[in-house]
Amino acid sequence: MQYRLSSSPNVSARSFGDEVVAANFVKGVYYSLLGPAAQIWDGLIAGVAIETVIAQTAALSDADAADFAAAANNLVQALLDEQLIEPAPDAAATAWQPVPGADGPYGLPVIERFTDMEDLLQLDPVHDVEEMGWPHVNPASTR
Amino acid sequence: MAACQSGFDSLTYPRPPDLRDLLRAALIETDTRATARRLPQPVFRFGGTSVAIRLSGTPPLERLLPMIGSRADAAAHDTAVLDVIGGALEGHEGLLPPAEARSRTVLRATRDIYYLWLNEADGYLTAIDRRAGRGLVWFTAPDRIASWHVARPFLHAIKGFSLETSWTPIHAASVAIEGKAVLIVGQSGAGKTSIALSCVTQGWSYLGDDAVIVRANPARVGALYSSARLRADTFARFPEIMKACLAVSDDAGEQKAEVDMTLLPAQRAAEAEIRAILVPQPGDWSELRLAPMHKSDALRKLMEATRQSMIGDEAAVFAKLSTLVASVPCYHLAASGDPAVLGAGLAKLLD
Repeated sequence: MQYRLSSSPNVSARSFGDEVVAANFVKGVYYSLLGPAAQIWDGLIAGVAIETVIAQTAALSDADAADFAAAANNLVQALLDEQLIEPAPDAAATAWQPVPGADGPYGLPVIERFTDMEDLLQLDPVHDVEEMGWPHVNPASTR
Repeated sequence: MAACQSGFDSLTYPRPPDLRDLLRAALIETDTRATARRLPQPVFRFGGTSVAIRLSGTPPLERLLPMIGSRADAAAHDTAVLDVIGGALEGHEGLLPPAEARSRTVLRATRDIYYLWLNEADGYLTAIDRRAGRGLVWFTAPDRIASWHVARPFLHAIKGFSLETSWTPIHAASVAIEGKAVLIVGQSGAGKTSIALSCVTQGWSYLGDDAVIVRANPARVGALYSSARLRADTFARFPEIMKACLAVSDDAGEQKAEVDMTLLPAQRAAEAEIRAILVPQPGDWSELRLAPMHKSDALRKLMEATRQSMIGDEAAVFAKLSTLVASVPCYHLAASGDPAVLGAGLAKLLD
């Protein structure tokens, strides 16, 4: 299976090589992926098949291979559940190679979820409208 | 006959007026007013953009002009125009949200339009026609303009006008030495003002304590305002700065000293190269500590702080700020209460 970044205009992400930050602006939730999670993210966004991504990244980890694969699959499921990525069966893969950890072998991949802005948005929800004006709610603003 | 009439209507009025139509109609009205008044148009310059400000309304609106950091009297050929309205704009109330929606924050941000209604001081609208380089800020109750508008006037309009530029306004403080700056990022109460003003007392140049404008490639910061706002618990720490206090305002129950930095001998900078991004850590520290931080954390803090006061265009802002963060070292800062220690420690980041 291959994946790509969500096509939602409310989702953005940036890779800094050994770390990734992703955001859903409507939910007000930010995500941080460090080390092996960032490598897996970069591989997925490059359109590389998940099996290849997990195998190559696991080779840079000192964790048990089965444990790493389970954690990596959990990570991918979390990315799907959070609607940060979506399946892309026809994606054309680009060059990708996982980068070894600067401080030694990787551990298990995890995703961190930050909800500070989610709380703020719940206090003062923003009502996004279409240019047609009131009271049309912009359907693209809800995902 | 009815069908014929209906067909005629749909031919003449292919669609009901949308927000851009309503805004354009209102701007024709403000054009007419401005032509009749023939007042000089001060120009607000920021990040390579110039916006001519036209006030249309009662005298309280003039309180919005003094804290503009970079002002000129003449408009250049490519200057955008911002009409500032106080009170009624008869016949154009349809541009405001309907009554039942005015207790909420209402946003429409696209490549064509930036429309933001905030439910504060009886309502405040910023509407920018991005294609036309025209816009308006409408205070429906100009005698109730919030103090932060006076300290940071037209901040949402700046945001509205900056989308297609390489610049974006952010919620941060900045100080510089010889054209090299640090950016201090954090939400309200994080200590941005105290750190910036401590550095100013040590000879640093001032760019802003709460709102500045930045770009990436190259990483630069520009001043927007000459204002600084001190919390009551910091008044005693900055006796020299407090000499330029114009008033103490009540900001949602919190006392703030409204300072005009142009009244002080301290240097101000219009623009500088960003050499470091600092995120203050809470706590009362006896010594200065700087620890490298993840860029993902720095970007998140920058986005969260900016989103707190500047709503909309998040994806575009994210793209600009992520490029900025990628090119500049980022640190957690535990600030020393000693201005000399703080100033000297941060100066090392500029080398």
